[in-house]
Amino acid sequence: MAELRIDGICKNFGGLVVASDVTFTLSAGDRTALIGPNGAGKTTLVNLITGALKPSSGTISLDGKPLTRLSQPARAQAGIARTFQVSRLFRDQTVGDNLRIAIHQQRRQSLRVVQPRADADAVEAQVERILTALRLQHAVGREVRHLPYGEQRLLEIALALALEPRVLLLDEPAAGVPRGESEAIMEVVAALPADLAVLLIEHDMDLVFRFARKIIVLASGAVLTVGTPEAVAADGRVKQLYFGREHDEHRHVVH
Amino acid sequence: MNLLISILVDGVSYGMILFIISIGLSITMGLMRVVNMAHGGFAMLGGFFAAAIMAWLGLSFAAGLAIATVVVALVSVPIERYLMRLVYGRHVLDQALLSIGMIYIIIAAANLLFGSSITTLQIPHALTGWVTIGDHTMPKYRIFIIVAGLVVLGLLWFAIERTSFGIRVRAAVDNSAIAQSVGINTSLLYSVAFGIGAGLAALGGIIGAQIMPMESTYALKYLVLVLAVVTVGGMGTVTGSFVAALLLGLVNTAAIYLVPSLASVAFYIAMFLVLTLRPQGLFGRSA
Amino acid sequence: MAEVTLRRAAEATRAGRRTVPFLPEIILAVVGVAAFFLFPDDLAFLAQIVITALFVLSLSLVLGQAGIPTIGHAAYMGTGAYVAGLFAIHFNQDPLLGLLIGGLAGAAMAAITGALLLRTQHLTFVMLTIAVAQILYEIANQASGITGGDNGLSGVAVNPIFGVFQFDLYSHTAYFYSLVVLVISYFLIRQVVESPFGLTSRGIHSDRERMLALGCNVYRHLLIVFTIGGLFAGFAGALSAQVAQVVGLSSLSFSTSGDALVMLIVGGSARLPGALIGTVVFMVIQHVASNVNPYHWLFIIGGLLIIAVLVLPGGLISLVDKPAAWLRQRRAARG
Repeated sequence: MAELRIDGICKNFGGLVVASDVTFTLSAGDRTALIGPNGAGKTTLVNLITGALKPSSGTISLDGKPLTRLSQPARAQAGIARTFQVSRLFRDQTVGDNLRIAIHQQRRQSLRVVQPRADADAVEAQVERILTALRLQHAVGREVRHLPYGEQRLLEIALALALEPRVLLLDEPAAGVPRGESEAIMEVVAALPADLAVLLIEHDMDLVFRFARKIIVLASGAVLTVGTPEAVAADGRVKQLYFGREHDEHRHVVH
Repeated sequence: MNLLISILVDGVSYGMILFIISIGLSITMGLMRVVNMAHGGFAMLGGFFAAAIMAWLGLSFAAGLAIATVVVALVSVPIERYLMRLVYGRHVLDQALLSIGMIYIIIAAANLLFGSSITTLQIPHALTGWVTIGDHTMPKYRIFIIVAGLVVLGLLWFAIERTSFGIRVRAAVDNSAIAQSVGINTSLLYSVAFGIGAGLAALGGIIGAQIMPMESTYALKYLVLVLAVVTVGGMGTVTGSFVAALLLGLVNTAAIYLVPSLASVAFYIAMFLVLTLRPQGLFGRSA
Repeated sequence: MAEVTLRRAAEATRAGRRTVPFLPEIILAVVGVAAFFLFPDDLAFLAQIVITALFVLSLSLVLGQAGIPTIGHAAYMGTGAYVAGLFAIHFNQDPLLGLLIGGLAGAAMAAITGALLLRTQHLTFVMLTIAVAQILYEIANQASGITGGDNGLSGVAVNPIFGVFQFDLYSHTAYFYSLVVLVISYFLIRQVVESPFGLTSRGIHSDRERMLALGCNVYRHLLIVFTIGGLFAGFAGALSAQVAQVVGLSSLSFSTSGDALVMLIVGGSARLPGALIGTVVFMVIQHVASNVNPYHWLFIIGGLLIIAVLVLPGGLISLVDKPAAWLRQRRAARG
């Protein structure tokens, strides 16, 4: 059973504190949302967990195995996958090739200059399986830059899933997608494998409350509160955090 | 002792020339994040213009220097606007290739106009000969170059640290998106900075023509030298470029005096060492 | 229905290459042989084109596929040339053995320097590639006792290939030898490009950050690409040493790296045939134009480069590719 433990993580850029003593755990099957106003340090936290940034202090471990000193690719290989808030896809490649790149990584075949037929077929079967699950089969041969944005966001998740991770960090999977299309993305998120540990960063409170069984509220780099959706919704500090500062976030919280 | 003084004077004056030529590139690279390999071409244009003005119009060295510097600064603005701007934000290789293309055209044009041999720039009589400082005699012109370098450094420091133009430049170097959002006209800023940088390069090319002679392949010949100063110093920093220029100038000069056959190897090895140990340059901030 | 389309699409991408095996190599060989009969008096020049094409092809792998922005690739061709030349003079005159040694020397040099260089990125990397090539250039220049310095390393002579094909005055053997090496190298490089390794390289080119997040050891991968590039650049150098029987300092020079870059960009760096097209176009124009005036020729390369960057980022090959893709789509829409 996977357990990701974040323990006392701090990070400053010069004098700017972007993460301050963040502690929480994420276990197999967890559906946890990470919320907080813009600039609260949510994406920074994802970068710290994946190793894109090095923490100033604190430790991160997976199943008791320390990750803090591991490089970014080593952490990905250990089972931590992420998506990006602004799509980072291989734009000039086809959807199929995007997935193949990820699958070759997962299967440790990326250094092969000769691929046996059986392995190539296995990779193709995997491509087909993932695309079918995400209802993207029709796009397999299309170049990513010609893809509608909603489908690009789906592919963003598909690349992370291709790694067959144990921990999945979703950084605003529906960001920039019109309301109507975000439904398809949330369906995919809802159908994620049950034993996967999932951390979701999201601004849309509707989606957060539909998805999460636990919510972590981050403000100015520190954990403000952790609790069930009901508890967090009732928490006065959280309301103040949103209503007090972030006008453009109102509409998501209110309706 | 005399040898040491000679190395020092020659090395520092050489470094000053490198500094004056390169500083504009460092600033524009810090600002626009664009690699302009053809920057040395501005030094070359300055040298050739000055020579032409002096020879064809019979004007003095000072007049040639002033006019050529201004002309190059003005000519560079449309180059920034209509050519370099097309590759802002593109891959470093695209920027390099576009500007290498410009170098080839500059070489061909210079050759067409001035031929393939060295074009000499006559320095004024007042700057030739020797001066004696303490027990040592030194070439007057070298001292002139060192003074000129310090004046440029001083003016740049003043412009960047003490004027509103400088504040805007520093803000835009730090973060152009934020600078733009607080109402700084980055487009105008880019043009002005590029123009000043090109003008300085022209100035350096003219007064340095005794050390780096004007020939049609100039822009290619000194390309690596100019880029080395910028990368070793760290782009966008005046101090960095100044230190790097002096360092590389001294290393090269010392090697020429002591082990002449290894002079250019010493230069490249110095650059190689700094960049492998500190990829962002001596004074550059890590990305 | 959807699954059928999916499978068909997947098969089409694969089958497109499998229906006629070795198709690109066959075309290359046919064009090469045709050139032999069409221009029998220019074989020395043709051999030079073929060798340069191999060099540019190695650059295409490094720069076009993996996006490694080197302006010092001549370092590895020059290393291959000098090592193969010295090997022939001092040890053994077998051409194939010399070719292999030259290639390995290029690869070894690329592996050693790449291990340092590839820790950096962007402009710093570009500058370091220039520095490496210049340092090697100066070493070859200074060590004139071994390399001949400025005069070049002369007297490189090799035995007949397989003991049969003597290198002749008319460059018959030289041309076919070079052509065969090019065709085989093209096949090998194409294998690399079409493999998972090649796909991963393009992924790094496209988005390095994403590759790291996917668990890719980007540094190691790029170092291997760089080493393979050094291997084929070394082959090109060894070929040039054996065919020209002399190794000049210019094999390590900045302009050798720069010219190869221009050829690649003008031809198109995203696909391998671009390297071949670019080499032929560049060298033929150069051959003609520099006979008129060597400096005016620079107007042409400069102009070509600027046009390639601004107007035709895909290079000449994209002029062929775009209509072809359009035709394919139309046919697919109708069928």
